[in-house]
Amino acid sequence: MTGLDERRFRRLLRWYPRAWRRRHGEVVLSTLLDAAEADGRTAPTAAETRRAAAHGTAARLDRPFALGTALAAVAAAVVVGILWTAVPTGDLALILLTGVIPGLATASIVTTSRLRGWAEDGEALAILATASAAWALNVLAALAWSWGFDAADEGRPVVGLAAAWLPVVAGAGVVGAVALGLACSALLRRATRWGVVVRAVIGGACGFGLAPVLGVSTLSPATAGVMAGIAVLFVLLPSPSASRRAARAVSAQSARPVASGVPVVPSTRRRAASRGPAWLATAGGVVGVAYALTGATWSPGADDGTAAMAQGITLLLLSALPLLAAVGLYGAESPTRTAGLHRWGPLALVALAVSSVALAYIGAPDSEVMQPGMYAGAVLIGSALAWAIATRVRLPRPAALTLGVAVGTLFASFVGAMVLPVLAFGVPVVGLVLALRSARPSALPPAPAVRSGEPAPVG
Amino acid sequence: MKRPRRILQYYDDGNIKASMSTPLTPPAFWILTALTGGRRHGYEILRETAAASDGRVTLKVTTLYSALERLERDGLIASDGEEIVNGRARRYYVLSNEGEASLAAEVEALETQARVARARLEASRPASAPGRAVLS
Repeated sequence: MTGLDERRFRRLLRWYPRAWRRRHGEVVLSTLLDAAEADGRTAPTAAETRRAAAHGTAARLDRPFALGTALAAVAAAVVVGILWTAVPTGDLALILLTGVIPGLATASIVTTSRLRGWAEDGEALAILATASAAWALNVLAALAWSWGFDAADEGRPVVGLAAAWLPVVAGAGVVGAVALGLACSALLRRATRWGVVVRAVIGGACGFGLAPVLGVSTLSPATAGVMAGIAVLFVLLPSPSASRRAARAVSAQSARPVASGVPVVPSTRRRAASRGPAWLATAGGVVGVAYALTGATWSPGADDGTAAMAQGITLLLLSALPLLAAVGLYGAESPTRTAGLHRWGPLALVALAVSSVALAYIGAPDSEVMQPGMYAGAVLIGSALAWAIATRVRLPRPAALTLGVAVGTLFASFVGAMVLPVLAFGVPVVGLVLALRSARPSALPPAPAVRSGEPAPVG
Repeated sequence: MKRPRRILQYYDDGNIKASMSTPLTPPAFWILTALTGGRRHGYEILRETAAASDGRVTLKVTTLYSALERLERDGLIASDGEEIVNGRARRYYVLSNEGEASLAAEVEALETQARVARARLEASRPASAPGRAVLS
């Protein structure tokens, strides 16, 4: 052990957060010293130093960080909500909307992705760095545009940042595209065996397609609300892979008493029950989409494209009802899922919201006739979100309730029921996926212990 | 000091392979491979990896621990007690059911890839290659 400069190795650990050092510090230090001794070195290698810097910095992106940034995004969204009613075009509101809230939400989402293994340390750091730069540029772009607009309005000359809006907007778009591309590529790496070039091309295409849309959409408060909400949900809801693991452990337990010769498979029947409503939703959804897009040309009930679209959306929304039933039945299969009341309750509220919006759409496009139904839908969907979150997040009860109510209220007031008609177009797709998944046998075959063969379906 | 756990015996549970389609990173692959031999601590894993790959793969210590952390979080391995040996802290790791299933699935995928590549290579060889004459 002589000759080794232990302090230089210990210095590498300073990159890591204190909690991490307490848990792993001594073990890592010992292994570093073992490796150095075997190589006859007295100091860390350059590669070790680089890796420690990257891994140590990434280790600071932990759960408290993810939770803190998500809650800060929600708090900022509430501030914007108040500001927006008072001074809709104030610079502070603009900065919060186009940079601070999406930036905080992005930091939280990237951190949770790292914690769930969807992004490696290096990837998470790269995405976070580029995304932060992109949101900063997005703020500058929004300010430049707004100041330039005001100046032109008042007949003043457009100077400074306002005059440079075009390169700033372009810069924000390009950097944002790179950040989104990196994120897409990281997800593809996790999910596929595609090479780096294929991932770069697909990721780049996604990035350049999405970045301008996302950047511009931050001018609406709804985007900030949705992003903050997604960040909170993402960090607080249990990870699907963890639930799967728990479910698997339970099913392994129930499969073990092979004395009867047949493992217990409680889920298959309920899953099969979800198949019927799922197919019904798919069929209704396909008809709805077809009607919405082509009804004007053949249906006697639709005078023009707008009427056909409204009637098609009503059909789609009605098709969502059997889909919700199928989702409930399908969710019932897992032993780790939430208790019946808390599964069916939020689903029932969503069903009411959908019905209310479907009724409202009968009156389309007369917004005065539609308004009561749309408002009722917004309140119902906010309540459903509040119920679902409050009973699912892993927090003490009062905190869970507060969070659920906060997210539900934010969603109801910022996004409202307008999202339902858009989401309704997903009904046939989700219905089809659910129907196909329910059709496959989910659990163990009657004969126990088949070691080889096709991988069992996930879920 | 905990005794080494034996947690591999329930491997043949049809459900375990369910989510194993995601590829393993090279460090994860070699760590799981090293742990098939039983309970190991960090430095042993480094040494075994270098030996098993004929020195082609040399894991950095920090890479090793970031991979170990991730594998433990994913439930593919479990830590199995710590010891102080000659003043140095050693933490031991063992393979879990999922870890073994995951490694088996990865090996299967690699074998499929190798089979396809070999078949293509053989098909592209001149007619004098053995096997080709029999086929044609």
